[in-house]
Formats: sequence, C-alpha cells, structure tokens
Amino acid sequence: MTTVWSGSGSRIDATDAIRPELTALTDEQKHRVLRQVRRRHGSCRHCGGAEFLVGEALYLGFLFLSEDTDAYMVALTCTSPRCFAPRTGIRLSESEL
Amino acid sequence: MAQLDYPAWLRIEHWVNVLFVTLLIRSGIEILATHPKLYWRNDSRPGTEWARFTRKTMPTDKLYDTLDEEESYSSIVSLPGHKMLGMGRHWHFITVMGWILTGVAYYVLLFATGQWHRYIPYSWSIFPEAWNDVLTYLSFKLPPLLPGEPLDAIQKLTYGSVIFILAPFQILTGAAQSPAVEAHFPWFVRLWGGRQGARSLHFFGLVAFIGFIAVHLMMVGLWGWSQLNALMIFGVVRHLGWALAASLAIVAAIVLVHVAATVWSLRSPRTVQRVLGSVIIRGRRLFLRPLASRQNYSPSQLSAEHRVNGKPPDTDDYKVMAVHNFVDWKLEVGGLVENPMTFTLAELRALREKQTQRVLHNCVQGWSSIGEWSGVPFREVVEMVKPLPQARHVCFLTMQDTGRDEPSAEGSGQFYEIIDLQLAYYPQCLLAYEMNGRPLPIKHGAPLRLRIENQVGFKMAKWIERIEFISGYQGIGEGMGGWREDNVYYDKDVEI
Repeated sequence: MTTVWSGSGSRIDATDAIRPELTALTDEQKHRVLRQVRRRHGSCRHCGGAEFLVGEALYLGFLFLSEDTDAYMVALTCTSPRCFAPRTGIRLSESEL
Repeated sequence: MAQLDYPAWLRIEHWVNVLFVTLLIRSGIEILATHPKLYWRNDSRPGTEWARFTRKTMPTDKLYDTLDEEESYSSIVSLPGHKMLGMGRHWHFITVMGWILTGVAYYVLLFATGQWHRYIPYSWSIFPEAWNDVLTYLSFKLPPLLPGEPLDAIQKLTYGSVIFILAPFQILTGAAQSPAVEAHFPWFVRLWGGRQGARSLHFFGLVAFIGFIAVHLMMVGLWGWSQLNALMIFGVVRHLGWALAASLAIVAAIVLVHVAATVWSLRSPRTVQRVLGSVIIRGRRLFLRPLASRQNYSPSQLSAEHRVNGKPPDTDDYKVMAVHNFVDWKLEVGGLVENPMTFTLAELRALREKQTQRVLHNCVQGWSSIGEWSGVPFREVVEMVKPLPQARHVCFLTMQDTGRDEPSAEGSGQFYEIIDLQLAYYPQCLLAYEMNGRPLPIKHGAPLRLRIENQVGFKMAKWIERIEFISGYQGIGEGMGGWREDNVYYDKDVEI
C-alpha cells in the first residue's frame, strides 16, 4: 500500500480510503456470497480458479441505468497465486446478500 | 440645451436595438429552457428553486442529472427552440457583443450631441412629477410633457432607467455568470448574491425588458402612433403613410432575421457553430481567457449535495474496477510527448502533496454548486511527460459512452473533451481524485476527473482513462474540440 502526505500534512494511507459508495459485508453475508458463487459454478475468467475472497459491495441500482433497482456488485478476489488478474466481481440481488 | 429631436443616428440605433434586444430575449429563453429553474443559493439544490418553468418530475430511485431536467421550448419564444442550448448560446453571445458595441456608440453619441438631456433629470422634482404622471395615466388622461422636451416626467425616468441602469445591469449580471469572471473575481459574483442570485436577477432583467417593450408600445399608441412613428423614421412628423410603410418594412426585416436565424440554426447548426463561434471566440480569448481562477470558498460554503451532469460508464469492467476501489484502473498519458507514462491511482496520489481547492462549479446549463476538490495539479503531469513543441492541445478520453450511458444527450460515442495546452498551466487546473475530503464519488467521475475552474463544467471530463497531447483536433470526432462540441454544438472555449 502506498503512503502519502495529505495536503493538510496528516499522514494517510490513500488506498485505505473506502469510497463512499461501497458497503462492507458481514461474515455471514460473505458466506452467502460464496454460496452463490458455488451455486453458479463461478470461476475466475483469467485462471479458472474457483476460490475467492469476498470484499465490499457496490449498490448498482441507483447509479447505473441498466441495473435493476436491487442490484449489487460484490468484489471477489481470486486466491490463486498464479492468477494475473485476480480482481473480479459477482452481481447479486439484495435478497441474495 | 441641444434640441431634443430625432437625429438619424438615434433612429438607426433604435431599430438596431429592437433587433438585438429581441434576439437576446429569445436566445435567453433558450438558455433558460436548458435548466428551467431559478434559485437564490449557489448550491441549486433540488426543491429550493423559487421559480420553475417545467412540469417534469425526477425519479428518486435512479440517478438523474440535469440533462434529464432540460425542457424543449417552441421556436416562437426561444431561439432556436427544441433543446438547442448550443445554438441559443451562440446567438446570445454574438448578439450581446453587437448590443454592447451599439450601446457604447449610443452613449458616446448621446453625450457628444447633448441628447443625454432627454434621459437624465436635473432636479429631484421630477420624481413627484413622475408620480403625478402615473396618476394621470391611471385616470386615462395624458400628462403634460416636460417643457421643451419630447417626454413627460415618468417617460424620461423610465427611458433613462432602461438605458443607464437596466441595460448595464443585464450586462453585469450576465458577466457574473461567467465561470472565468467568477473564478478571477469571486467578490463580483458575491455582489449579486452569488451565481444563482446573478442568474435570477438576470431573469428579472429579462422580465423588465419585456415589460418595458409592452409599456413603450402602449405609450406610442396613446400619444399618437403615426406621429411618433414618423419621428422614428424621418425625424420629423411628415409622410405618415410612408413612415408607417417603412416601419412595417423594418419590423418585417427584423422578423425575417429571427426566422432566418431559427431555420439556419435548426437545419445547419454546424455552420452556425463555425460562423458565429469564429467571432465569439475572439472576444472570449481576449477578455476572459486571461482570468485564472483564484477561488477559495470556506468549508462552510460547500454544497451539501453537489449536483451532477452525465452518468457513469455502465459496463461490467467499470463496475468491477469500482467495487475494488479502482486498484486496477490505469491512466495512460501519451501522444505528442517525450516521455509517455502510465499511472495507477496510488501512483497519482503519491506524486506529490495533494492540492485542494474549494470552488464554484458552473454548469453550461446554468446551475451551480460549491465543492472541494483534491488531486494533482495537471501541470505536474505535463512537466513529467514533457510535451513536444508541436503539442498545442490536450485530449481527455473517458470511459463514458454517451449513447449507452446518457439517453438524455443527443448523440453517441466515447465522451472526450479537448482543452488548449495553455490551460494546463493554470494554477487550479487539477486532476481530481477526491471530493469533499473523500475518494471522488462515482457519479462525479471516479476515479479521476478534470477541474478547470475558469471553464464551464462540461469541459471537466469525468471517468478519465487516457490523456493525449495533440497538435490539432480537426481529425478527432467531428473536429469541433470535444464530444459536446461535436454533438450539441457547444463552443470549445467556454469561459462563459
């Protein structure tokens, strides 16, 4: 992670700054996400791996015209050390979270 | 005192003024139509408008922007009508240039010939006289004229007010809506109660002009249309029939100009953009381009909700990048440079201590908001990539496809905007990755957007993915200097 000086002189970790649109998920929600990945036979499109770490969720319904009003994108990171593009995501409805 | 007659220059100025004022009114209504709401506060917060000229209601469950709020007015009231803001702006600005020149000539001639006596009172006693005149009119009688003058007291005061107060007021409140003027002289926009105060007052000026025209025509009718019309055609009361014919011909010519301007704008907007734009740009570059931003609003003045225009890229790639906090996003900077570079968001953040600016955002549609933007001054990146001598402009390419993402906009294709390289060195030209102390929101252009505080909002490209240094832009898109210039005929340089 990159550490930089902010304009006010305070020391902040830039990549730790969570963007306002992202929602942190509970452990239970993360389990539900992984269950959905398995149910859909989800795999990494770059390396084919099927193991993921679950990150935050982005509510899509408000920001994007094509999305259903209850749609979320959940961050998934492929755990395979050989994967060259591990970051991906899964679209879920609110009831699936 | 000079004889207060109707010299030729005064008669010519009168009819030229009729043309200019009517063009200004119609093109002004076109500009109003694009955001048909008026506010007093700089934040233009939805629901706080004191006047609205639209029945549209906006959704609450989906992001809407101010393009969705735009109205389409008839060509009868607006120039050219039918949601053609680009055309309305061209006509408004070209006309105001002509109007100001006419006005300056009018002032000079008024004072050089002594004709100013007809408008400027010498005594406070004119005010009670004017009030008596109003009462006389209300009793359906005509008041006496001032001794040796062509007007009564209330007419003298009214004409004087229109010429020496209302006309300059409209020019000043119009100038107060220029982002370059606001950015360089923040006190000037405060003088009018802020950006939206200036816009609202400018609207009152429009209403006052319409009211004046109506009362003026009524007065001419009451005092004797034929005689006064002859005075305004021949300078003396004679040949009443010919004078009527001549005035009708002049009015017909003015109407013809309006019809021609409307039809030309609706049928060949690109030609209008090129022809009028080539004149307007000279005025902009001469008077407004040197005005660099030196704004610094206080934190308490930040808008609680900063309005937006444009919608985020509606692609899975973008959404995946966003949910991972744009770790995989990269900014390519290339083109006519010695040292092409690629930056991640973290690398951009690490370039230097971030610069923060609290500034007034001016949308081309007329709304405003105040936001705090932080990021890297663009000149730092420019100095790193080292533009080649032939580089003259900078093209900002974005991830937005307007046809896909912005149904309310006319046109389609990748959104891009081009600025002159000169602007990159302005002190508040910023590549912003934060807003109000937090990561730049998606709806405001995450992960990176441009801020150029002496320009109108659409130039400040959002969702940037590539920056290209170029020698010319004729071969890019339609060759007009940006997506909005190509598709909705805005001007490339938008200091107003």
